[in-house]
Amino acid sequence: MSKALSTLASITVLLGGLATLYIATDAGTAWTSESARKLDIQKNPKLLPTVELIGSTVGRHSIDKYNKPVILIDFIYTQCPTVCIGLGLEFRQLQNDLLALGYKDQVQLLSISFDLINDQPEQLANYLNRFNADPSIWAATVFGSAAEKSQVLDELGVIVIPEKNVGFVHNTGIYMVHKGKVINVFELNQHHQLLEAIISYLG
Amino acid sequence: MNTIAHKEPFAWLATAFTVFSLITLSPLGHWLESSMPMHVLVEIPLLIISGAILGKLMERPLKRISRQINIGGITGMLIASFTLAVWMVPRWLDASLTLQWVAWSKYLSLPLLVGLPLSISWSQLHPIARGVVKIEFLSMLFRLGWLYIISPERLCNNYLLDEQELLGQGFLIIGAALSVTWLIPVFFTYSERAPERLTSHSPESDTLENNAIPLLEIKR
Repeated sequence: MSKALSTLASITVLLGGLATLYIATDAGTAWTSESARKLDIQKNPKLLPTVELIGSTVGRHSIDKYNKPVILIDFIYTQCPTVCIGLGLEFRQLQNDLLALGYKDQVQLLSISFDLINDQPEQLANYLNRFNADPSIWAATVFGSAAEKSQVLDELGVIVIPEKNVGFVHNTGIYMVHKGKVINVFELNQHHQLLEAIISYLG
Repeated sequence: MNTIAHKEPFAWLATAFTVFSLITLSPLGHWLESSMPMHVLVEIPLLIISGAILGKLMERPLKRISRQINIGGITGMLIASFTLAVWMVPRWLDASLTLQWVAWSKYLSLPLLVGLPLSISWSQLHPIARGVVKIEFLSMLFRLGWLYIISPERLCNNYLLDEQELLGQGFLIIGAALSVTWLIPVFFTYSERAPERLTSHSPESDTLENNAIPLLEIKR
């Protein structure tokens, strides 16, 4: 009798355990919080908080000022020696491709710095110059305040860790905003998927 | 451990409780969690050990439940394995640093669902099952160690890449050390145990020469 009960308990735990692992990894598709975060954004688009930014030329302004149908956002800091250069180069490539496709008025590239101390309009302008940015499609800004910075980074699950050698380490991604909502995140190596997504949204 | 825990139950309870509270309520936990190797190789084992001590202290009531639903220690081992497996998923280790409810799930589940069931189930487990668990545990250490060393990407957004590599090396070192410690008895106790098993029918024969007789009997 109690042997059967014990076997039943073991089987229950086995099935419960497998179910837990299944749920805990989104059916095996999200083993890291990075993949979970991207999956979550794709499934439940996030409302982009309305915050104030300081631009390289325009001064303090609301993020609402960028009202083209598709906005691509990346988070950077201008002194970054590593990933942000990758992001910068990817934005330059996107800029060239989008201009060639004639999407100048449909797509906005927006780099937002989270380094409130070092990144002033001057540094932002230098950053744009470094990547030959075309101001008609690519803007560089910094968060207006620390509170607004955490509001946006927390909402999107961006984690920035200060590091002694390189300044900051942060998870990267290019965030696609459509109608005020963040609908997708792309990796640096997903250039073609990103372009295809833009084309499919804009027709 | 068994006898020590019973001789000084209050001292052991106090130890377990102190370790648990230091990790969950004092800045020590935060400090351990600031480094990935410390988080995984120090904090998690400490939480498991504090639960194991509790399990030893409550051995009698737990054995009573165990006789009903944990025959051979199978159910307890399954609970412990699945719970530990969840915390080995980088996503949840990461989330335990950013979400309060995940942090507390970790603090409570590691002692109560890993350490405690492990302490009452391990001794009941069939020797072969015990071997399987050990091998699976070693291969988990080597798999994770290898993964953390070669992964070019950060698996936890809260930790830097070099911490991840350090943890990978830690896994490999612990795996190698455990392999050796678990392997030594296999080689050195075989010659003592083999005759023991053969003489089980004739307890009066305890020298190797006498063992030859029951050996022949078995063959016949």
